[in-house]
Amino acid sequence: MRTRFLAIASLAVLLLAGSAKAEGLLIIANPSVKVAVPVSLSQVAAVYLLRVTAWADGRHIVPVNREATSAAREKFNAAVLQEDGATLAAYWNEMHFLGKEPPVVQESERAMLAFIQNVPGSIGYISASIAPVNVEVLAHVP
Amino acid sequence: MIKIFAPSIPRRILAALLTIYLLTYSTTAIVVYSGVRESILESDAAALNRLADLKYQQLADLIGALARDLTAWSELEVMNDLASGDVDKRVTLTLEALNRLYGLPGNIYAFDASGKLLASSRDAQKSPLELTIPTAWQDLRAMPAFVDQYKDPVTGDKVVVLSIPVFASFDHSYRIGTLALTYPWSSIDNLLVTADNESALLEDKSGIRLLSADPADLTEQLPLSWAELFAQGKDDAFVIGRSAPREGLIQNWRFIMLHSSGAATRPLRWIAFELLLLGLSLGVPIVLFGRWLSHRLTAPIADLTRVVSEIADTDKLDARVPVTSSDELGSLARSFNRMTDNLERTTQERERFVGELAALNQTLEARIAERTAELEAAMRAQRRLIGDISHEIKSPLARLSMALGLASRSADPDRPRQFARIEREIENISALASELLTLARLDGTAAPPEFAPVPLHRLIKQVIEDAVYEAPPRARDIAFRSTAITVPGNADLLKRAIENVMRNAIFYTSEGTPITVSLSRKGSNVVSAEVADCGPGVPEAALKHLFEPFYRVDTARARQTGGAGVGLAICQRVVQLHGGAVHARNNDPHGLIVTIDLPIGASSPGRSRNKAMTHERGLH
Repeated sequence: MRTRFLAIASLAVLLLAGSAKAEGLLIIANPSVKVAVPVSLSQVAAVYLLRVTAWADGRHIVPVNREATSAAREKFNAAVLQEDGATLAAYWNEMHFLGKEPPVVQESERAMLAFIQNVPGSIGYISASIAPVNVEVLAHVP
Repeated sequence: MIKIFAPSIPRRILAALLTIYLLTYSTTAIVVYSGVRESILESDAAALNRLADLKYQQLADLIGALARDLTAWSELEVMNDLASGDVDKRVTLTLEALNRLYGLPGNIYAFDASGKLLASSRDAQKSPLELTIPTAWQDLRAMPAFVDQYKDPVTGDKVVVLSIPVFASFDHSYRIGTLALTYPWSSIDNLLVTADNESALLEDKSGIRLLSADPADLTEQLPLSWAELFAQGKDDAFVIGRSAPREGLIQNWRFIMLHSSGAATRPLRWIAFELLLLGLSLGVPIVLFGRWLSHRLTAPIADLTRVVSEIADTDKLDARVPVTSSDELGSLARSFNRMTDNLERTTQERERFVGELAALNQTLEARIAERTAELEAAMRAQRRLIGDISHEIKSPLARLSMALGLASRSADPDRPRQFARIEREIENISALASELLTLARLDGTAAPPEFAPVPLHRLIKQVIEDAVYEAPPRARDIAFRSTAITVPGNADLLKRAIENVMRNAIFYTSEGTPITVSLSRKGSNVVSAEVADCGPGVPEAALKHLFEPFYRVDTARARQTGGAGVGLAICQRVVQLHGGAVHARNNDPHGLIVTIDLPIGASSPGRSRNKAMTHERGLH
């Protein structure tokens, strides 16, 4: 179990070697989202932990996550949600059973960006090295 | 009548029985046959209806299963990637996996919200990615939607399409794309195939449209259009089964199955054959029974006929009809026997009477013959007596005449007148006796006189000359016309006969009264001698008695003129002896004509005489 975790972790580090240079995440949202920028990370966390489900204008919030094995998600978990992945997974499972939809998963930066661009009310995060085209940047996670 | 109809009565009874049987049986057979046919067709139609329903259900189940699968797939979380344009090809991989796992014969396509094709279960290389969703697939009023018979935009095959909108799992009101499933039409066609029946899939939307048919050229065989066929639900040539309308994805579809009536009613041939066999097997005993019955019924009539014809042919009345039953025919036989009994009795009595009558007749004839013989004997005796008397009287008369001559010479000369008177009377008696003797001889049974050719004209001339000699003043009164004619006969007798007639004519006419004698042929075989005077004649009533002996018209005058009245009787006898006839008739204006007809031909005088005699006897 431990060796496996190490292997996955080292793989992720290798995969994210390029992006890791940028050091940091951008919290982005669909351009339809009209909020005061910057948004505090605790507010972002509240969205991802399904405590806040609607924007100020009443629009439904669609939080988008990366796959569990991605470095970006690791960082987002640590920096924004301040929980480890396993605890969060358990939490979202529980929420799911309570009838709340956990964050949608997108498995690449490009997919994340495209999703945020396309889906109104969506909020996600991308590596700071990616140009945030056609999205609203809500915050910057160092 | 009975004889004519007798042979045909059994046949008629048989024919009547057969006719009744045939009518009854054929009616029953037709009713049974048509009933069976109707029920076979009905049950066939019901079975076809069930089969069509079953097929429809099969299709509905298939489409329903596909729809359920598609619905489930559309709710997969991975479909959220449609919102991000399937950048990671997760949707494509999923569709390929599903296609493989479910063994789908068609394809699955995923379109994004704008209708652009994002993913398909086909190889990515083969799919033209610059493709937008066909409009027909987007008419999404139901979930999932069913689009029948569409051309697959990717493969170009004919397909059935199920499509469903995909909504985001995070927001069920947010549509992120469309999922479409194609199912090849060839697989639908395979479902239609049935072993024995012809089937068709119809679309019934705004009109009946044929979607598929098995066999493919089925439409060409049909007498009616699909719309008519479906609306009427029946046809003479086909048994039709239709699926019942149902709610569901394929509610516009109708499944129809056809079965040719001929094939459906094929088992009826065996039934018809069986009915025919049954009819024959029933018919044979009925014919036998009919024959037996008709013969049994008509046997008494045949007996009666036989007996009647036997009686008619042989006249024997002892035949009897056997009485075999107590019914009407039996009573007829009894009555007939009774009638024959009566007839036989009557006939026997009649025969007895006829026999008695014949015996009586015989007795009577014998007695008549006896009487006749007696009478003839008496007549012969009478004639002989007259002949004898005449003969015997002649000798005394001769002696008396002689004695009178002697006495007159020695007697008183003053009384010569008395003597002359006595002498004249004696002459009269003598002449009478002579004539009577002649008559008796002619009537008698003496041998017939000798016949020789007699020149009749000379004989008559001689008679006239003799008559003139006796009465010279009358010579100029008598005229004679004659041709030379010879007849066979006895000259003495003929002369006497004509003489008597001649003398009669002279006696009964006064001087100056003409007397015409003529002799002529009358026909080829008869000679006619006629003596006609113009004297006073004879009353009409006396004419027929003229030839009877001693008959006189005027007794006083006869006594004056002398003659005994036997002359014409002698004449008649002589002529009859010659086979001729004498007639007397009055002359015009007065006088008497006596005609003597004599045959010229050589007829036997003896026979003629006998005939005449017999005839005469018969008359008296």
